[in-house]
Amino acid sequence: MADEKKAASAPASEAKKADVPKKKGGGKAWIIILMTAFGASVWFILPSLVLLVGMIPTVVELLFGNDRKGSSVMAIGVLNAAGITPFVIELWQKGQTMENALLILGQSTTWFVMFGSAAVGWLILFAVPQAIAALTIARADTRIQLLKENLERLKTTWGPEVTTTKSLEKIARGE
Amino acid sequence: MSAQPAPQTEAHKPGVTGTSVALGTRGEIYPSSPLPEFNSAAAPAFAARVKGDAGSDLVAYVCTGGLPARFDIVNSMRSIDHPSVLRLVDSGIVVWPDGMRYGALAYQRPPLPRFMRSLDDVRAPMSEDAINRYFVQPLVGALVEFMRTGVVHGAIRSTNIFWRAGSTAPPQLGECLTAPPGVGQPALFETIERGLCAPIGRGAGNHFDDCYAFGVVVALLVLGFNPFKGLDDRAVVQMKMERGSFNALVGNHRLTPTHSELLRGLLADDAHQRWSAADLDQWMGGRRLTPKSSDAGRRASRHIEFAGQEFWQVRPLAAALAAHVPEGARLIEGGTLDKWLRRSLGDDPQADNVADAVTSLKESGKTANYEDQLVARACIALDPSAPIRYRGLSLMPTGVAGAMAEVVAAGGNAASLLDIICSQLVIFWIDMQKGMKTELVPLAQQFERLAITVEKATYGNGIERAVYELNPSIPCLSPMLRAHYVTSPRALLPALERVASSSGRPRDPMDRHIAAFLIVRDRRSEILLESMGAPENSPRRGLALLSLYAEMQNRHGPESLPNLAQWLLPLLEPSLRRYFGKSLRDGLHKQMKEAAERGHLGMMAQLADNPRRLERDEQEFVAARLLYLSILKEINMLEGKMAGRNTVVRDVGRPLAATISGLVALLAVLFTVGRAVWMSL
Repeated sequence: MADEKKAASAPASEAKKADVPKKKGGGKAWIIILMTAFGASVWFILPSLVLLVGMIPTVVELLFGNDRKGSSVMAIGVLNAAGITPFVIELWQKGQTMENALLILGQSTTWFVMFGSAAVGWLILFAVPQAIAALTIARADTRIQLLKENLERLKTTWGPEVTTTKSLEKIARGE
Repeated sequence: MSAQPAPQTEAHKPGVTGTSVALGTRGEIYPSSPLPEFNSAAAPAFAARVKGDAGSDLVAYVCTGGLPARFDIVNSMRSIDHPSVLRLVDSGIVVWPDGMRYGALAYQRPPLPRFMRSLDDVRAPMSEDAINRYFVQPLVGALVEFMRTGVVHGAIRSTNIFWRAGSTAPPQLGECLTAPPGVGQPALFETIERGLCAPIGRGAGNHFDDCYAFGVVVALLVLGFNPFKGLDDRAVVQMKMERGSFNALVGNHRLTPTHSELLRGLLADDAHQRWSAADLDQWMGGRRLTPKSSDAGRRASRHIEFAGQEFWQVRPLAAALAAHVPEGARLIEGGTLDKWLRRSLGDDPQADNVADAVTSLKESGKTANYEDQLVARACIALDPSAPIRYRGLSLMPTGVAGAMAEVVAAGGNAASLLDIICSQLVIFWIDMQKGMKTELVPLAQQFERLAITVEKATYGNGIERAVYELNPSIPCLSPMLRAHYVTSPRALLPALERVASSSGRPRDPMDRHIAAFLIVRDRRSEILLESMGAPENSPRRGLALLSLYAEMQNRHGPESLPNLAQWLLPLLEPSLRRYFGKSLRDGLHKQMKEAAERGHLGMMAQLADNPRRLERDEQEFVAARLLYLSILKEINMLEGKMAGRNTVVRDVGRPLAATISGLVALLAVLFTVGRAVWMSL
């Protein structure tokens, strides 16, 4: 019975182990699929082309970034998407033709805005965590200093015995 | 009694020189005017005066000998107002020029010289009428007074009587309070039993012992010489034992029938047959009494040989047994003594007593000093009225007190005395006494209690306790108080204050003597003083001492004892260490110092021992410890956070960056859409 259980549980655990990398890769693929589907939806076939090209920085972060929680993809992605928005609107306004799409993509400003907005995302992603870390450490340091002062005050008020775990009787006896 | 400060008045009165020291409330003594002709056995005499009365003429006895003076009967002695008794004017403690304090007694100076300067003085016999009228009659009056007041003089001897033959002034009995009764008495003036004792072990004695001594004084006066001249005390007692006191003293000398009757009555060796002052008074009134003729002990039909001597009587044999213990033990255990008592002396009850004594000792299982115990008990059984004779000591039961005081004061070995108490030899002695023993019941009870007390090792018990229980007027024998003659609890704190201000004071203002002294004289609880046996770092020690002395200061004064307070301060250190709060402790230290400077022990006690404050301090300390631990924990947590910068970046920074990006993107999209809508309008 025990052997059977072991045999039964072994493949299950192997499958679980195999699922972990699949899930990771699958998550990214799922986002790509969704974005593509979004771009390729009936109403936005051509804008999706612009979208797909403009979102290259996000895709790169998505594929090669090491942030498991997806915060960096989010930070870059939303600004990247915001950078694409004017050109998608422009395409809607000019007419959703391949020529207009290529015309828009052919302008350097388009690339500058799309990739620039992604760069702003990158910048925020770089600067904000560092600033937060520095701030947190500074606050912790200040707190530690305050606490250490409190410790000293306790020692001054109660003597070095307050730092020990000696029994009260022993302290009273001066041992 | 209270110590008076030494006055510095220069006195130049007739007969006295130098400065005086105050005595009691009325007297002043002149240390530079000794009166050696009045010296007593235990105290030198000095000229003294009543304060402010240049015409007064006193003789003061200063108790420098170290023997326990009889201050406990001073009041009784003062109540005696008889021309044949030296009048006690004042008593107290004096500050002597050498800085020591001594007990002292001032009497009216006797107008006549000592009747005899030496017992070997020879004088012309006086007429019967002169002796009776000018000597016997006044002294009988004095004895009646002693009997009335219950005072035992204990020092009636020819050399302690102030009188001149032919003088119409009455003879006066000299002082008797500077030493225990019998201490200065030659064995000649003591009964056989008391003569067998060491002088210090003769005990309190009784009125009949005074009557016996008076009988010897009269005998010497009637005879005109000392029939025992040249004999030492041992030989005198031996002769009295063999022949009886009357026969030994008077011998073949012819006496008038009146004096013969008087001396037979006074020198009866059986105390129950001896005349008292009441009998003497009747005799003086003309009533004739018929005293027994002889007191010589019963003689055996055959002698017993012991230690190279032949013995025909029990009493001399008992004395010899005590002097030769190993041989005596063999004689008792071999059955020789029993046979002699039954067959030659025909005294079966006495033989039974000895047998009972041996059996009771064997049944008690005591093996220490077995032979000494055996012989001591056998001697008591053989001669019940004789003293307890044990390991070279020879003491009446009431004499244990004086002997113990002397040994302890001299720092000697009191092991044998403790043995006497612990092995209940006194109780055995009392059991062996014939006739009514009601007057001995309190003594038996006291020694039963002492047998328990002396075996306790705690502070305030042991031999020291026994000394003060047995000697009601002895000063505290603590080595630190020797120079201060502390006779009452009231005098203790001022004495300690003086000791505290001197150099070389001991570490603690308390020792076993002071503890025992307070338990006995101040009825202090043993429990309080047991704390003195606690380890040196125990707070109980200092607190017990402080509360004891604070209470005494409150009760007896004086108001300020700054030196004693300073002495106590270091002993209170452990009690202050019980406070955990450093600032509280420092504050208390400061307040204690201030209270000590003011010499207020009660205030110090309140500061050192406040249970509510202690409890609060302990609770706060425990809370402080918990707070300390919690702060340490938080510091550790923060330091961990500081070390994990990347974690902060990852867990906090990036999500926040994503949020900021989202907000910026939302604004940008809204702007773009709004602009596009605006443009299209």
